[in-house]
Amino acid sequence: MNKWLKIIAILAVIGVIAAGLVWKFYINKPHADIENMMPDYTLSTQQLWKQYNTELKLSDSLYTGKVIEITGNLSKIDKVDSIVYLVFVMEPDPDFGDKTIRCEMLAKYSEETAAVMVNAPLKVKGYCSGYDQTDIKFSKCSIIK
Amino acid sequence: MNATVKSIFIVASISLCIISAANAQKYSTKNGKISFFSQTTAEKIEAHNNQVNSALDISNGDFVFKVLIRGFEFEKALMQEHFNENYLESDKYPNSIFKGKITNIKDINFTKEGKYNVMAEGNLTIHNVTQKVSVKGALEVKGGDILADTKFNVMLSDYNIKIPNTVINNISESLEIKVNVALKKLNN
Repeated sequence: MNKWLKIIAILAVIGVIAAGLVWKFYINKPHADIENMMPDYTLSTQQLWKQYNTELKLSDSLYTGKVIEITGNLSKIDKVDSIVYLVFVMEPDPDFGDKTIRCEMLAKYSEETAAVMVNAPLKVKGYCSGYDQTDIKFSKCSIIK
Repeated sequence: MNATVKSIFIVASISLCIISAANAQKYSTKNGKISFFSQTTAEKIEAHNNQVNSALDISNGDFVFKVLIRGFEFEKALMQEHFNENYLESDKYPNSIFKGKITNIKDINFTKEGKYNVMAEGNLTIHNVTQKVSVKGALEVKGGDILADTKFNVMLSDYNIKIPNTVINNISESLEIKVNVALKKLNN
């Protein structure tokens, strides 16, 4: 094999490997593992509620799209189909009954949420989707012990 | 009981009755489902959000749907990232809202179980752009709840959502939106 053919073959192999790496680690990169990430912020449900309701834009820039650990007294547990929501009620609301902080739990926490005590303090970590003027919503939530 | 205390008691009782009557007409949920689909020859994309807030007043047909853009989940993380950062700009415009009225609400007998076709008109705000829209849907009165579903299309250009030329063949200009909510009577 002459020198040029060798160079072309090596470049082709490098190209295929590079394309494979881009495919695996960029185009098909996995979703963030929220459960095992360090929280960007740790605060009480009351603090988070007060901040979103006094400085919405600032709070959106700080908390929306971030991993947050919150602590508060759990008010209720909603279960819809197989999805469990842990709910911290903050205020009454004329259209929706209440304004809350709602945490959509990861499916693997279904059993654990069944044992959670309502009206007792609870620490939850999850991805904050923002505040829609009724609820602050979290997804991919886990219980912190 | 003196006259003043009696008066306060009567006013409070009447107020409570009025509030209860008003709420008896209201149905809501915070666990509604919304999904959207884009299909081109190059790629099929879909995303789901299980935390739609929705409320309906059956006395006049007024409704609202509220969706947090960052609540949409995609199969691929990169798509979700591009959706939030480049297309919907969810840091700048975190909410979407559809507020309006079911125009044929009087045709529905909410005391009788059954499925009814409805027409809804209202203002749909996405990406900080508000458009008047009319959509067909169905309401089902079942077990004391109201199940509502609808399917409609939105044009990305109507909401000033720009798709870069590099991925223009991967994303459809018209997205199919599906909404499915189970509304429960509000008890305050």
